[in-house]
Amino acid sequence: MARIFLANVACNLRFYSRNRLLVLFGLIVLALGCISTVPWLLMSSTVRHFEMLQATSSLLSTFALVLTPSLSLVLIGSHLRGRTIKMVLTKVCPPGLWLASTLVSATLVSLLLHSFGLALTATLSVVWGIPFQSGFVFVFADGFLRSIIVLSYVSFLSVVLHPVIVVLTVLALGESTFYQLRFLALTGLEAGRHPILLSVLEKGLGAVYAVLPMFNPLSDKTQGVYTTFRATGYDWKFLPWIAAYTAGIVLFFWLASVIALRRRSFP
Amino acid sequence: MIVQADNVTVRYGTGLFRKPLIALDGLCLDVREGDFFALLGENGAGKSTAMGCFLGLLKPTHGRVQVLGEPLKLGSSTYRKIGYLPEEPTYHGYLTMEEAVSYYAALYGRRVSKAEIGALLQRMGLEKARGLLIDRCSKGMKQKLGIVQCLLGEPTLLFLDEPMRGLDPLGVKDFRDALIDLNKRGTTIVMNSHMLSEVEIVANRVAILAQGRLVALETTATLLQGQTDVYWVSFRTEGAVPDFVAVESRQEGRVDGTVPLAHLPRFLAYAHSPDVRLLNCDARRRTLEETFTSIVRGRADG
Repeated sequence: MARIFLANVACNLRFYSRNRLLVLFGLIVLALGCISTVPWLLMSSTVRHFEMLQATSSLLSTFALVLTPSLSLVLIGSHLRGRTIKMVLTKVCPPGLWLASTLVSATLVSLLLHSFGLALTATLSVVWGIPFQSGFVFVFADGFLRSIIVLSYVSFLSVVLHPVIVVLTVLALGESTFYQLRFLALTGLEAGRHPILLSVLEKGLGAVYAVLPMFNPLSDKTQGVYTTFRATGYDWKFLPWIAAYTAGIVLFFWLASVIALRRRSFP
Repeated sequence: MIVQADNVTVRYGTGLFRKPLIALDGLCLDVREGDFFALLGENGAGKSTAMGCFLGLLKPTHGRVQVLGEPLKLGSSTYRKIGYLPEEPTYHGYLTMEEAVSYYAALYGRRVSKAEIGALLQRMGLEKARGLLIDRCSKGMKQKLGIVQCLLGEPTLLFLDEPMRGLDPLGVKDFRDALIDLNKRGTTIVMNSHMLSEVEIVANRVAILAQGRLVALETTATLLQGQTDVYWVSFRTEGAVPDFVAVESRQEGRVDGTVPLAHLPRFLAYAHSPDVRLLNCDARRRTLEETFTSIVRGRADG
């Protein structure tokens, strides 16, 4: 099984490197980020190096956060819609193993992207004479885990939905949308309007909100690190919890994806 | 039984308020060990759907399919004994031929050396294309790659969906010979094909599907037997030709035509007459194509 798994990972990495759509998408995201950031960086005075460092770190983190789930979306979507998956599943490769290989290969690329971000941030800090902050590593690790959460969620959606609907679902129907809708329903209830309807709606929205993954767990606790790049012992203790949450989410969506893929027909 | 389909029905949804499409309707058939089994039918008759069910790629709406004694679960170890050549070239187009062979072998748990890959590709005449991306290969080259990959696991059971499609005449012959050889060595083969002349040569059992239903399941010999109801005759005469002879051609006193079996004694008596010189009288065996056409058309007509 290890050989089959590694063969799948190698095959997926080849897919990423040779897929023009992905490469183009990556370049566009990077270009858009650069367009909005670089001029600002060039115009800044040397005193504002710290802010420039923040902007660079944020740009690279966002880039990795967007690209990581896109890898999975394009890979799974392409293999399911192109029916290439038939060639895999009619050999000794169970759906779970193939799905795990898609997650691992995207995770490897994500790790590479985040590591590049960390290395660049660290290099710039040395060049600009800013002391190396432990917050750089924290932001790198937290960003990486957030990417993996979105990756596993998008992987599951890619198995059950058309890629375009996956993108719309992730963009428009995230946990924050349902949080705000639930908040509105609660406000309506407080105001005493349509109590039965709003009560049912509030419970339904609450259930959906509870099921959807948090893309940014414990963000209210760790927000400070992103602005100061200083991670204290208090901040670090949240990281294992974020990692545990990520592991749980990955396991949950992997299992859901396996069930969905097993129930699918491949005409 | 190597493959057993028991009352298999497959329905496809065609829309919320439309009647579902019945792709397979109560299919019951079995493939025995060592068979070279051919599934025949018009486009949309349910051949590929049946194969999809055998392979575990499609879930029957009703009924049960067992392959090698068990219901197939996608990716299970049973697939080690199974080779599959799909109808559409659904290979990993972003891999080169060489990478693809290595990858597909790995999916069978096999490690193949570069030399082995080279030999496999050479056998199919693909050695020059080993570094070529599959996406850039011709249909025939992809089909040859498909043949290579489905034999990688050294299967005891082969599922071939339109295997001759896209192959050049030499490729057809080479592949046919390879299949006959594999079958002689004990590999059971289940094949969908529209090339009835090829099926007639290789298959020992034939199932004919029409509109999702099984309309014939026979050995090829049985299907073609009893079809000697017509005799090809050639004779020379300057006189009139009896009306029971269906004349195909008449040139310079030579008559070629057919005589129904029922009129054969009358024809032989006519052939003994002094102004007739019999040149040939052969029982004309129907081809599989003619048998197939008469079964499918006969069913449609009546």
